Amino acid sequence: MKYKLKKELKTVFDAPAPARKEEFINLLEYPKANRLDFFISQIGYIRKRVWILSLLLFIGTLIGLYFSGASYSFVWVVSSVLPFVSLVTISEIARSITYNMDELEMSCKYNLLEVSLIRIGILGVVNLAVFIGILLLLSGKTDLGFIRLGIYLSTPYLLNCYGSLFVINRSKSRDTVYICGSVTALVSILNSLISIRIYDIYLERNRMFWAIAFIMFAVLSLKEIVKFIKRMEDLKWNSSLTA
Amino acid sequence: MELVIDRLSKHYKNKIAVDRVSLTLKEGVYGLLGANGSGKTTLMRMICGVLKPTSGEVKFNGIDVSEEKFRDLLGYLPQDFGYYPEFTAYDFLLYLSSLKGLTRQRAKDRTSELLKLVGLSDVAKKKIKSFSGGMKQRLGIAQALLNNPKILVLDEPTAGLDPNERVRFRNLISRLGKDRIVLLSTHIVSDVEYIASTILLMKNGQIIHKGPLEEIIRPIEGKVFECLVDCNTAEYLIANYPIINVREEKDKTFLRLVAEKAPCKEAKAVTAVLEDLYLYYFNKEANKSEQLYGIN
Repeated sequence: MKYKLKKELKTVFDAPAPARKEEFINLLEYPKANRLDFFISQIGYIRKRVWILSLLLFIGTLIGLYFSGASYSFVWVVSSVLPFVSLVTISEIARSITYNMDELEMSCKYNLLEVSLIRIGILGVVNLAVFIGILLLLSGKTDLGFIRLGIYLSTPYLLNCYGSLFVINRSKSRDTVYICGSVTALVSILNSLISIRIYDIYLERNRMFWAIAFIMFAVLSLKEIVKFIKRMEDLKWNSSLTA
Repeated sequence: MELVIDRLSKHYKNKIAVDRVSLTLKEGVYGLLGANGSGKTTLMRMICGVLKPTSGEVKFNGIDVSEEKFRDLLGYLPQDFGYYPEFTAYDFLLYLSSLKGLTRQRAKDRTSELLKLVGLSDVAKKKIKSFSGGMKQRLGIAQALLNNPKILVLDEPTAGLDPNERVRFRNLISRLGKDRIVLLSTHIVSDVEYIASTILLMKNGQIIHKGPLEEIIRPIEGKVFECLVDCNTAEYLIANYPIINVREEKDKTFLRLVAEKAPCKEAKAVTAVLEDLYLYYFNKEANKSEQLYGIN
């Protein structure tokens, strides 16, 4: 009966237009996403190319090991490819600047600094996982040992990290990623040439050279990462806008 | 609701971009007017926390600009913004929603609402790179509203909008200004004239005038004249008075200018508008530009 009455009333009277609907809606507090939700959402915004390249490198190493075995030449091939992984990672971290999204992201609740730190964290873990995976695959097949092999593989990677971050931190151009691409190609070619020309480069007597190079590039990369993070806190003055 | 800007300054090596600006903003629309290089963008960037001031502070209801809480209440449209090339309009708004701390469901609802509001629902799934300048600007306005901000800062929001879009935008801003602080900068004087309850005139990094339209144009009220004069008189007037408008007509020249009293017998006093005041104050800059581009 009540239902029928309601229905009848609806047909007889027109409902008045809502008054101050917007003001009322504005008063409502909507639930906010927490930091964990934000972190998870950012994983989805990492481009597919990062995952694909990492996976390809891992599969490529497996195939290479199956067909050619773990020789010194295989070590230099892998160490020459690894800088490209770091290039993809760095271009991912720096893409807010590359695509001029930095100013917008800086003004958001979770700002550019947090976005960058999350990207660095996620991609760092991915790179580390790929690196350890490759290391585990190779170390059992060579007589180089886990640490020595780790240093041989990671030194060109770190050199590229340092070189690319050096460029990003100093360049004002939006096309920085192309310069980083050139740096990566240079590092990769240089690594290949050294490995081919200096046939005893991986021998034990050169371990000091490798250890020094590894530590030096690791420290320099770290310094550039700190500089990069500081850059995310404050927008660089654009003289064209205020001059 | 109170946004307090206290002695805010930004110095660069050999330039003072913003010079000890102090303001208290309450609910309403504030129009920031100034020539290129007057410091508008720098001031807005500092209010949004994207640029660190050399000195001074910005606080909203006691919350400092550097705090996350402040950014949670802020909507900002920069003068120049980009987008990730793979993004559609819908993706762009969803991405910024996540940065603004909206839940997934709320982000979807809000994105659809705002795309409808700015007339981009039909192209929601199209890549932004295929958008015109006006469409990108509308998308920028939509993103600034995602978190229903209490402080809305819009740097040149009407740039690239066609006249219809501008009218729609003005109406939207007027509505938004009822229960939040809206600060917008523009070169289009009429936009400020129509929607701003308070006008801020900025020159050389300082706010030189502040107030409602009637108050702000008072200094030139009764001092704006129009006249149709011969070539020689026109030359004399152009050389000696701040000129607001010049139009060549057959054998005579029409002039609109500012003077303490009628500059010639043909001159008639007319009602002053904001554009007169703007051009009067920025006359020096305009003349400099004319010299630069060889305009006589």
